[in-house]
Amino acid sequence: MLAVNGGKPLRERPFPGWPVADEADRDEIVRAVRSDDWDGEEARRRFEAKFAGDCGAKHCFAVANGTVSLELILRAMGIRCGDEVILPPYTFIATLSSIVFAGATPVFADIDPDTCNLYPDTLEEKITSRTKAVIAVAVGGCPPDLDALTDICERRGVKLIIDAAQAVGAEWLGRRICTYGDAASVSCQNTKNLTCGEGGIIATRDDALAGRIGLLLNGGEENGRIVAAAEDHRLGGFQAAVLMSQYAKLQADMYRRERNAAYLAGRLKGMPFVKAAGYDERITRHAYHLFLMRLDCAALAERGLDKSSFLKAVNAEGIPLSGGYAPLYLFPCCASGMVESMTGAKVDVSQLPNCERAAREFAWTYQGCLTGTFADMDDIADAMLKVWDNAGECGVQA
Amino acid sequence: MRGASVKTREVLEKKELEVLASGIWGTIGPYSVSCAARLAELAGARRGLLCHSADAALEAVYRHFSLWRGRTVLVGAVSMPSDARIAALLGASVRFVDVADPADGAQSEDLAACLSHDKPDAVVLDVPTRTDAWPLDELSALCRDAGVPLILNAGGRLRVKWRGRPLAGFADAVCHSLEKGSELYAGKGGLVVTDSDEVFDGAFAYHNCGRAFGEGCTLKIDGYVGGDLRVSEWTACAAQVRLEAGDFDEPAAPTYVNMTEQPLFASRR
Repeated sequence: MLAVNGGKPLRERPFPGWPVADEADRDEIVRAVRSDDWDGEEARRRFEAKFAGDCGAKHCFAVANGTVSLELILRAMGIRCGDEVILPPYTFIATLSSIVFAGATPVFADIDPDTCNLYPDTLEEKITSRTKAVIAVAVGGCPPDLDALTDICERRGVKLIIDAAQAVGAEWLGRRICTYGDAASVSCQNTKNLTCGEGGIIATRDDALAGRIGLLLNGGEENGRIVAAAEDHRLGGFQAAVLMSQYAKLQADMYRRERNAAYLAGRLKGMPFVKAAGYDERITRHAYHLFLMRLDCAALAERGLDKSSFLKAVNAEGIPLSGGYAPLYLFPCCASGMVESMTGAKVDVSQLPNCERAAREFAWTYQGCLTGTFADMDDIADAMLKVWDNAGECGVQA
Repeated sequence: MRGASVKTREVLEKKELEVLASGIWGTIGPYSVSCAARLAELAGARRGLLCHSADAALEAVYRHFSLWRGRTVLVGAVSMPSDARIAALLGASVRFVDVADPADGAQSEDLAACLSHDKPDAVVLDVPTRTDAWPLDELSALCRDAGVPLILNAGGRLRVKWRGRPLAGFADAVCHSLEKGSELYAGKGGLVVTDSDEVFDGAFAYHNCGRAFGEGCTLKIDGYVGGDLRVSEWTACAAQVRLEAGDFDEPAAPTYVNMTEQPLFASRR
């Protein structure tokens, strides 16, 4: 009997917890507490040098989180009221809010039907004379088509910002995605693959942009005079300390997630109602912050299921699956005029077909689940199969 | 600034290691909630909200009052730079009220003139170091009568009162710093205290990606375009441990700047 109908769940033990702390983290915290660097100046410098050196970015800034990091990049680029910034609608609200906070108008462009990333094929039609930047989100840790996006942005003279909030460590053609575009932003929030609880990273190879970011982080002060509107978004000392020790574990964690994701994708291959999200062969490393999968809703419907009832039943079996994002253009803040009042420009909230389909069909499980073993992956696959095989029993309602 | 005492650091070390072991390092953890409540109590206010910096505390409040493009914020001409800087950052127009001596604070006649002339959407005033002659009751009444929210910036002084009475009783919100120079230095952090549930709810949502209090890390977002102004558990823990130990520093004297002379505002005079 399915657990949702009162049966025994397939899995009763939790998946591996996240984040994971070890002796190195304890040492960093103790050092931070005992130091006079609670403000974080020294710890930030240490981490920034390490991160920049490792990923090949010339400049790195450790900031308060992956939302202000995007906002800082936009402001440092001089983007302001009247400017347009393109983003995909299938992502967390932080990408939208950073644009709105910078005063610019968000413009939604459709997504790739297989990966949920920004779709180069339909991007150019959204570029106007007011477009100043494109924010390409690496949804779930999957790099977007950086060759095509780079080409489009260079030809059209707009900035390319990589929102790698979920994609630290991801690579395209052997190079970290943080080094693509004009700048990249990473989130180190509690659930992220690299975390300190609340944190963010900016990476860029542009000297002028880096100088501008530095000015903003310094409260807009230059030679003792306030020349720019700015806010102190620098990362604190405790966070910067933990980030160092957590960063040392990133590669091993990535390897584990990649192995498990490949195994899980293999298990899904035989299932008629689900398949793993698309994967471009030019992706050399996928960060797997989320394991995205597309449900065949028609197949589910034939068995009396819809996405909601399917997920509810799988969750009841002890497997955390999420229904994914709702399109940002459907959020009340877009339709209600809130964004317009903050930016002075209306937002086009027209539905985008691929995004609508993704919202209907995609689901995901979290990176924490991918840090376990193949047996954990078997549980995920087996739970979905259990629901599929027993959909007809006990009246699982569509 | 002395910083936390040796004894406090011993306790803090233990507590921060517990935070580490818990795996809840951010996104509205238990310390961020409990510490905010304790600090509100210290300040004599009903509600408290911790943010990742003193600037962020101001931003959370400013956003609640929609102090962005098309709005006007009145700040002291000689004031802590963040008052005007954050307003400008959000896109608001900044107007200045004359302050003869920031150590004595803004005076009623100056504010009354500006309220009448500039018709601001909010007033932001620094809590002066000499509060005896500071007419906060009159300033508060002027704002109330004009229907304009009053936001106070007390900097690093969390225990400061006005004639023995909590500041939150006179203002819609009071912002504090937990940063260097604060009497409760905890790294990078800021605090909003208020007696208003509406102000708290709005500031909270703006500071937590548009999510209401209790929604934590979900994808359930209200009608706000919220940012991320959240404090880390590390900072909240440090503040709470210091608070519980009564381990306060002598707060540093605020840095006041004549904002009308700054290049950022040169064209706004």
